[in-house]
Amino acid sequence: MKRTLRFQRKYLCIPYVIFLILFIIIPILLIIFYAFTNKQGFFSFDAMIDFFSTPTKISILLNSLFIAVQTTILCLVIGYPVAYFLANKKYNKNGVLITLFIMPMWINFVLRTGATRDLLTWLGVNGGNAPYFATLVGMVYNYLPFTILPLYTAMLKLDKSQIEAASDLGARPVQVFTRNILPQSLPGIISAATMVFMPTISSYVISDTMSEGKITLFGSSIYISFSNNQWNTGSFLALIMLIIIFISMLVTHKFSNEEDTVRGGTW
Amino acid sequence: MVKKIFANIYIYLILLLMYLPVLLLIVFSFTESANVGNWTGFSWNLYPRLFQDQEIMSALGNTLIIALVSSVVSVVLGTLGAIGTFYLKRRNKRIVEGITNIPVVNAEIVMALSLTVMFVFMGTYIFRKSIFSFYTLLIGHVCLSLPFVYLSVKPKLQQMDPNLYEAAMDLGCTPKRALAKVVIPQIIPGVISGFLLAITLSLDDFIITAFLRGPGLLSGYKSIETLSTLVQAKIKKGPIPPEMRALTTLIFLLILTGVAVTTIYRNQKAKKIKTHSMKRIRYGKF
Amino acid sequence: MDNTCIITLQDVNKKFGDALIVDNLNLFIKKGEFVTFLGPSGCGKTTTLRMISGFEMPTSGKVFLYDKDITKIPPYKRPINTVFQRYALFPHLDVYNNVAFGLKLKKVPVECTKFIYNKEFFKKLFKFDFKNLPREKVTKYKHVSADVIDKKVARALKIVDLEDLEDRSIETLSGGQQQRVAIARAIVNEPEILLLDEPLGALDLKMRKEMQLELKEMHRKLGITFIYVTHDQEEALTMSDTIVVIKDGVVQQVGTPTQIYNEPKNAFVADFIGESNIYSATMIDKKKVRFLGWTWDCVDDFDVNENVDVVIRPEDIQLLGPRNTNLLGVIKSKIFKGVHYEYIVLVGKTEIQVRDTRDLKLDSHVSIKIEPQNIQIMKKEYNINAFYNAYINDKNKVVISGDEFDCDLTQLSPGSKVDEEGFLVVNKLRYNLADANVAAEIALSDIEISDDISLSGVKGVVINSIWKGDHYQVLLRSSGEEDYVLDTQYNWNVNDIVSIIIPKEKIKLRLKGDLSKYEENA
Repeated sequence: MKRTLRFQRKYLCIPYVIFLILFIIIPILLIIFYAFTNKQGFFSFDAMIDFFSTPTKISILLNSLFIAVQTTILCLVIGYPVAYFLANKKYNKNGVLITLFIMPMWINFVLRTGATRDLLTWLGVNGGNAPYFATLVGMVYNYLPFTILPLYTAMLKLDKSQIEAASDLGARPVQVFTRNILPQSLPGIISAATMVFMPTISSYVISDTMSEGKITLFGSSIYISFSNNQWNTGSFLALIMLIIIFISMLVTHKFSNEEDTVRGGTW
Repeated sequence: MVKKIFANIYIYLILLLMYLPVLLLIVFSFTESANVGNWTGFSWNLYPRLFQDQEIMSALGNTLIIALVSSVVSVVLGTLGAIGTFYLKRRNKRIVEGITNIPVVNAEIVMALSLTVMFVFMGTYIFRKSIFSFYTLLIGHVCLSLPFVYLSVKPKLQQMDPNLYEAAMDLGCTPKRALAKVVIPQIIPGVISGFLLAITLSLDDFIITAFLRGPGLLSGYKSIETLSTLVQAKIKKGPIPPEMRALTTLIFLLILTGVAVTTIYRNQKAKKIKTHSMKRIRYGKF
Repeated sequence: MDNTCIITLQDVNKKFGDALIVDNLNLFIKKGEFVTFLGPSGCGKTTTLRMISGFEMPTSGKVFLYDKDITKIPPYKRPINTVFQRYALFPHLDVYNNVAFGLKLKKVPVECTKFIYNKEFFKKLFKFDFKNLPREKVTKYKHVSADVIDKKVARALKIVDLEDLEDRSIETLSGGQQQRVAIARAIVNEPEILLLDEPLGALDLKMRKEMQLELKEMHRKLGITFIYVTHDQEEALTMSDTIVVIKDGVVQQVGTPTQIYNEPKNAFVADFIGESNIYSATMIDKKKVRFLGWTWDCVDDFDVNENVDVVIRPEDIQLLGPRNTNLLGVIKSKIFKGVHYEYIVLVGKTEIQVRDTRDLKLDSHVSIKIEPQNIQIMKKEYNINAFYNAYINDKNKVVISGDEFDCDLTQLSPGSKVDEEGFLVVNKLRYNLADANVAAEIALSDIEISDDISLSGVKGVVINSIWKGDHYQVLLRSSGEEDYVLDTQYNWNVNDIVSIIIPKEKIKLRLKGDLSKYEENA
């Protein structure tokens, strides 16, 4: 019998896979290639040596990590009670309030950032007199909805009977919180933290706008090397970014259950 | 009781703070001053000025065109990809899903730079000219939203009764027909939410656009300007232009209407399901 | 009912990876019959069905419809329709459109006349001779017209008793109603064969009994062939014209329900269909068989000294007063079952299940009588050790005639594990398997024996040892009077006392009855 190529459902993924290979895999391989070559296309460690021998570049990286940590903590501290209260039907009838918290995400984020800056300027705080503070405020403003959403979903899954049982057994409210609510909502906290931490390091618009160009974060330095056509330097920076992402993914994966990551990844 | 008052105060305070910048823009969209905070008397004038502003209008047009085209491409590719991958052998499936997850966790700026590097490479060594155009921009936006389409279709496939496809074939459908008549209708909710997600991501994007744009669309010979890149260029030099305040107000109203409509629709649907199950008890034959 | 074969399976094998699911199956299914594939879960019955419907292709072998080879014909080209296990109704369509789904796709040949546009046509046209214009008859394939579909759908819904529900959406229907829609959707296409894959599995017991009768009635009315798959022997006995008993991908017996029940071909069939007492026995004389330490008259003729299996149905055992000169036993347990009592009588260490309508006292002594024609004697199969009266004790060990062996309970349900307290855990549900009745099977090569009698708690005596060309086959009798057969490289002397060692993963267990029976309430 002649073997004919009959239609099978799995063939449908061919265009998808080709697209992924062409525009996801190959570009990343190219980044690695560029990171370890020089302008003439020869193998070299120039970009790496340049990065590690320039104190400003390392301080930019450390500074970005520092701001990212601060933003993450601030977002969690502000967002956690909001999510906790919203998960209670008493405050969030028909889920309308949570929608209100998410709604700003749909306004163009550059416009939102500009508005935040203009507000601060109006209040007398600006990139000129407090660039660091302004950047932090901009970050928190932008990423707070992204923190509240995963925390909220985690809170909805809280086992209420456990909490009641704990208070029934004589645990004080603080103990109920530290021993019961906090551990139960940990997956939500972790996925919220990843949603804030990674984008903060790599953000360009927020820091550039809020500090009026006075604070350069890691994302901005990648953007600058792009503007100056320094592909090798840019690629090396991007590679470092990839490594940071990979490490934080490993950490996240270790601490959270697969099913609880809000972004839907199977990492 | 104290707890309830505290909770309410806290929630509404945070909500107010979150909306403050946008509210400020909305309020000052009714006055013609150059920057917010400086009230020069009530006026509707910013609205007609917005619609006469060629720059903003073409940026808006570009943004919408890119969002629509890239979302349609993403939805077609992503939906077919999700269906195809779902029926792959376990090992291959894991590989495809692993690759799908790369753009999800990757920083946008890394993705943007990697694509730029590739297009520069192709432009230098293969085409011998710059290939940055609407198409490179389109590819960038598809990369951005494709995995999210995939991830919103996949659970629908998992929830689907695997026998449905076989039942359709049993009743006389060829495999392609079974796909069109049974599988696609089953996953349509996932496809729609994937489409909406793709639109949102594309509308909001700055980095990918800034890196990958070239001349084309409504910007003609100039580099394609979207809302994000235009606003960014403006706010780098000074406060948000007055016309943009009117634009923000309109966008906000649009979102508010959308949210209100979906909330009402969802609540009605929930009610409907309730009455349906009531009916079932009444009509129940068995 | 005529005698043509509608489906023939010829030397069919099906492998999934390395696992052989269907092993050299040969089967003839007669037109118009109600045939049931019966077997424990995982025996290959559903796979066989799917090869008939076309969803699976045999690894080797052929499937015929009448005498046409349909092995490689895709399912949508076969005049066969299926009722799926969980119905597989299309949730986005209402009842009418679900049922009409197949009809709307169908194209039927329609005879119609067409003009032939040749010279003659134009000649006649100009002569205004319209009557004799050249025409030809052609067959065109057209969709079935809407009103034909309407009629057929209405008729199918009437057959399944759902006339008024045409525009209801699927999710508002009860399980029983969905079941009926699934049947209507299949029969509306007027298939030659209707396949039913455990269609009643999701219904509750009462609904199931009702649907069984209705399906039987439907089969009579429609006159088409039904092929039905189930693991429920009662269902099979109630509904079928012919039952095909399958185990491990091999057909064990094909026959009418009465044949299968009254004359089971081997111990597995006897055990799987209905309740039965199965013992290893020896022919000690012409038409005399010895088991339970007693000699019985029987009607089957086997060679003297041959080892055999005997099967006795619980209702065929009579309990008499203790003074009779019969085998004596003690009533150990008693359960009232409505029409009759179910007793367990202990003879020595061996249990006998008995059904009797009389109310007898617990712990009273009885004598046991069995009519010779009620003792079914079957040739013993020396390809496997099968013990049908085993049970799990409270230490999670399997007990075979008083001999305890370690066993692996997780094989009873895929993805299960045993927790610290000894419960079997599947999907967070806990099952207490203490006292659960099981059938245990051990391959001949998986039993080891050793003359170091401290190695195992179970000891046995070598009864005989036969050279089989490249190994010895040894027959052992354990202290619990059970016979074990094993293949070994060494010759053992008759009357040697040995310890019997069986690795726990080598004991294949099959639970009698459903696992849900043993669910532990938290």
